Amino acid sequence: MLPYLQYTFPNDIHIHWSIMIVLYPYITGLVAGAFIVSAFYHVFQKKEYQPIGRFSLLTSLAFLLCATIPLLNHLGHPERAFNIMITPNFSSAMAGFGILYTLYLVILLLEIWLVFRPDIIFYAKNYRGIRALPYRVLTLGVYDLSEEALRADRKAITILATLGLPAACLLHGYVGFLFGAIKANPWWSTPLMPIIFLFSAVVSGIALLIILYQWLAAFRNEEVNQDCLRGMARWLWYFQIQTVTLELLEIVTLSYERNEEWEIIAPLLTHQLTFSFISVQMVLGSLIPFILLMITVLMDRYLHTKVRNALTFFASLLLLIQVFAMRWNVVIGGQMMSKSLRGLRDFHPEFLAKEGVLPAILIFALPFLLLYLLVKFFPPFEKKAGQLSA
Amino acid sequence: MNKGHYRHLLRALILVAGACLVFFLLRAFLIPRSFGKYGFFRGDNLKEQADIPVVHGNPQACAECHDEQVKMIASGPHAGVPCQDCHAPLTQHITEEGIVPMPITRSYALCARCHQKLDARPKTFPQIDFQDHVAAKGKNWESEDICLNCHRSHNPLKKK
Repeated sequence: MLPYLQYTFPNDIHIHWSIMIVLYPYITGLVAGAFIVSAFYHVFQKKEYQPIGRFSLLTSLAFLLCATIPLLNHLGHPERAFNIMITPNFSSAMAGFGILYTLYLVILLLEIWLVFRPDIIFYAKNYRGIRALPYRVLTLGVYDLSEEALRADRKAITILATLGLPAACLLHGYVGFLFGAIKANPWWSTPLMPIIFLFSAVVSGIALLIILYQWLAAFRNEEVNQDCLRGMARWLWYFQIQTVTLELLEIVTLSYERNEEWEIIAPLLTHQLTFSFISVQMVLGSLIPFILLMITVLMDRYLHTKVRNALTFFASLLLLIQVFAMRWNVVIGGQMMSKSLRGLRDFHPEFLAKEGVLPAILIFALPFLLLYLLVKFFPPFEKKAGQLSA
Repeated sequence: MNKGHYRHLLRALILVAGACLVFFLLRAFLIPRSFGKYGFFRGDNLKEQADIPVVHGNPQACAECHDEQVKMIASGPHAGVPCQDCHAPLTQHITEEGIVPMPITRSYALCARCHQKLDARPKTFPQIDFQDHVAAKGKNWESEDICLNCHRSHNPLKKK
């Protein structure tokens, strides 16, 4: 329109970090959350989580492989992403992500390979032709399933899962750090941010697994293991309480301190974010699942299996929405304040644009598609082959 | 325990080590030659930046010929607005071929860039809702230079 217009005041009307930047910590959180659930079984040896021990690893991998897609779409020059790997500047927070991401990916791939090795050998031996080829390659030419070899595998899995746990926590804590370290934005700049992100990641990870596990059990016409579900519901309730407490503590602190930033944060919460923060994040996403999970945990022995399944399913669904709303409120909410902190602006996401709602839905559907393929390739619930690894 | 039972783990480790080696070999090829010459960036980039033709002139350069207008702007509320924000960059006016007429945008859209009412702007900054403002004055909204019918761009508080 006006090609030579440059320095007008203030050009602070666009929200540049779009839904893609909301989706990025959301997907990364699901990666970390799913891995932490797998660690219940592989590190802490909690036998009740055995039914989802393998599936949670595949979930983590499917989401990890898609975690960077929203970022790359947002950047517009995806090839430049390799610069942080080739010439990492260690004073840059983004370079840290490249290193942590790669480290975590290697750990996860190795752990999945070891966990599924008996299955890989089983399929390599029993399948014929092209179908057996990928499994044969993955055996690396070793078909040893002796007790000694399996013991070595178990030891290696425990070491990898133990290393993977802090790596997963760092990966997601770092995403929170990216926001927490932006000191010019009072809505983001708090050391609590990485911790809030991490706790909500665990919530979203457990919630996703509860939903997928129940859904897959129904799909496979199998009973949902109630010990496993009960355990996950307890952890989900615990982490939900921690997350919401931390989220509220941050706001209570800001409000009680009454520093100059409260002048803009108060109207942000009561005007711009009324629906997404108060209605969705706090009431629909926190209060209702809190009550549902409280019933599930405290009245456990009175509950019929179907009621327990339904309560945990709906609580998980609402918590997935809560965590998405939390990411939205942090990322979009933080940009709704003008950089001068003197006014607020609106955000109206487009539907078909490059960073619109439709691309966001498609990108979010991608890890589920990938998970479907991974489950087809490495059936995590298959008894016949799975028994070998047990 | 027989060492033979670790064979698969050893092969996996060799694969990971091989991947690392490939990465470092690729990295050696991919790092630009001038990277790190002056600091943590591609040294050649300095020359590339310096070679970009200059477009805008020094704000004082306009006063050399248009002293009267510059003084008028300095005395009004647009004192902080550089000439080249509303006029084209200096190099479109002073060219290799000599002086050519300065392209001027008289569109209301230019005024709206700063003065359209926006929540993000401080309350003390003069802002109007353009459509309401023009309708209230009974003027024609279709006219591109509608603002300049009443306001002087060099000193907007002085009515025409």
